Amino acid sequence: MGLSRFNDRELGSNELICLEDAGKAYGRSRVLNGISLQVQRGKCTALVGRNGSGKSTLLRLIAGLTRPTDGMRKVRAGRLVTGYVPERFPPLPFTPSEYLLSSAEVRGIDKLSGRREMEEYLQLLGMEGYAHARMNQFSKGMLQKINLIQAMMGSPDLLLLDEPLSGLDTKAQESLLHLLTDLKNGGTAIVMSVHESTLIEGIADRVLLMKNGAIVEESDGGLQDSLKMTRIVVRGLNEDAIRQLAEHPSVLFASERTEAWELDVLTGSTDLLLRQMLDRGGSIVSVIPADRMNLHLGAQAIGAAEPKGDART
Amino acid sequence: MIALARFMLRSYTRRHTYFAPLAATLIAMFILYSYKPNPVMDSYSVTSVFLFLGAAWMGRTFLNHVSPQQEQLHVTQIGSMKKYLLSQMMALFVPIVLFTVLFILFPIVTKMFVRPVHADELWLAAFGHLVMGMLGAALSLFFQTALMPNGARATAMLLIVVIVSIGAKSITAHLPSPLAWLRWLLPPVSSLMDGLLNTGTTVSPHEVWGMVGYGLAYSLALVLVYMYVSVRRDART
Repeated sequence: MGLSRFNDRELGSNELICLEDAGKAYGRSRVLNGISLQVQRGKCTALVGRNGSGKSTLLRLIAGLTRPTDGMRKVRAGRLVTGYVPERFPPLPFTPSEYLLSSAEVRGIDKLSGRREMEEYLQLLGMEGYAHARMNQFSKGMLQKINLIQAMMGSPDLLLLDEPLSGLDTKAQESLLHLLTDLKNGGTAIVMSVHESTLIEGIADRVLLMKNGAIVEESDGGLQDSLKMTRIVVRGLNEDAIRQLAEHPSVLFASERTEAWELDVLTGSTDLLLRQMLDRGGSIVSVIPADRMNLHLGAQAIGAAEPKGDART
Repeated sequence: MIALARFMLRSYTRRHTYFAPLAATLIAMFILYSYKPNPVMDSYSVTSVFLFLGAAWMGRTFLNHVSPQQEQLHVTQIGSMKKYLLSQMMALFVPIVLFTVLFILFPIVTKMFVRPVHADELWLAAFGHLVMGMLGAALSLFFQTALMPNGARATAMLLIVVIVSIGAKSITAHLPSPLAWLRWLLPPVSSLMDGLLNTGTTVSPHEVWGMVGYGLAYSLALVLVYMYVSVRRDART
C-alpha cells in the first residue's frame, strides 16, 4: 500500500505514476473512492468538478503528499522531479528572487541556470520589476505567478497544478498556456485541477470529471460531448426523490429554486433522468442543453460553447 | 537537505518567532553570570538546563513556523517527507550548537569563573550542553502542530514533560519500588544536570560521560520514533 516504487517495466516506459483503486478517508469521511489513473510523460490531464469533489486531494495523492488509505500508488523507479502548485501560495517573508533561487537549489538546479530560468519566467509573467520586493505585500495574482514559477523551474517530470489560473489576468493566462504547452511538448506530464475551459481546450489530452471523490466520466481531449452538461428544471418532486436522483453518477449538482429544482446532468444521461423524474411524478419545466448556456462547475464555466481558437499556435 | 535546512532557518529568523526563546535563554545566562567568581561545573550544569529549556521552546516555535502550504512545497521540492524531516532536524541542530559555543565560551572569555577551566571539563561541559539541547529539541518534535493540532494543549503538555524531566530525580525517588522503572522513561535531564554539577566530587567523570552517552542515545531514540511516526503522516493541509 502507499508509496511503493516499482520498476519501469511494471509501469510502462511512459508512465510516471499509476493509481490503482486508490481511496482516501479522514476518519469516517471518505474523500476519494476507487481512483484508477495513469499519469504519462508528455500528457496533460484535467480534473474538473465542483468544489469539494476531491480534485485537490487527488492532486496531493499523486504528489505523494497524502497517502492512500486503500488501493495503491505506484511511482516510476528513479528520481521523479515534481512541481506542485498548491491552491493558495503562502505569503513568505522573502523576495521572489530569494525564494525561487532557494527552491531551485533545494531541487538541485545549479545556481547559474536557476537564475537564468528564474529571470526568464519572471519576465514572461510580467514580474521582472518585483524580483526584489517582499512577497508578503503581493496581491493574490502576483503570488500565484511566483507559485507557478517555483513549480515550473527545472522542467519537472511531473507538474501538478491546483487551480493554476486563479487570480491571473488574461495576459498572464495566455502566457501560462504557452509555457505549459512548451513543458508538455518537452515531456512533462501535467495534471491540473481547473474550472476554466481555456486550459482544458488548450492543452488537456483528457478530462476527468469528478463527483463525490470519484471519477464519474472521462473524455479524451477537450470538452467532448460526454462531458457536456444539460440543466433540467423540474417541479413537483419532494426532497427524497431529488436525493435519490442526485445519487445517479451523471447528476453533478442539484439546487433548490422557488417551487422547483435545478439539476445539472451529463448530457448523455438526460433522457434517462428525464424518464426517472416523470416516473416519480415530476413535471419538467425546462431542459437547457450545454450549447445554449454556460454551465458552472464551481466558480467558472466549463461547458460553455464559445468557440475556442487553437491556443497552441 | 543542507539547502532546505538553510532556507528554513532563514524563514524562521525572518518571522521573529525565535526572539522570545532566544531572549529568555540569554537573559537567564546573563543573570547567572551577573556576579563573579562562579564555580565552573556548577555553572555549566545550570546553563545546560537553560539550553534544554531554550531548545525545547525554540524547537516548538521553529517547527510551527512553517505553514501547511509551505510544508507541501518543501516536501515536493526535496522529493520526500523523510528528506524534509531530516532537513528540519538539521536546521534545529544549528541553534543548539551556537548556544553551546556561547554558553561554554562566554564565562571563559569574560573571566567569570573562580579558576581556569581544565580541558577535560571543557569537553564534558560542551558535550553535556549539546546533549541537553538535543534532548530539548527532540522532545519538542512531538509537540508540534503537525502531530498535535491543539496548540494550547501541546504547549501545556510540553511544559509538563520539561518540568517532570528537570525534577525527575526527586520525583522518582518518591516512587514506590514497583514504579521505579518509570525513571527510565523520562528524559535523563536531571541525572545529567546532577552529573555535571558533581563531576569529580560524588560522581566520577567516567560516570558523567556515561550519562552524556545515555542522553545522546535517548535523543536519538526520540528522533527515530519521530521519524517512524512522521514519514507515515500526510503533509499538512
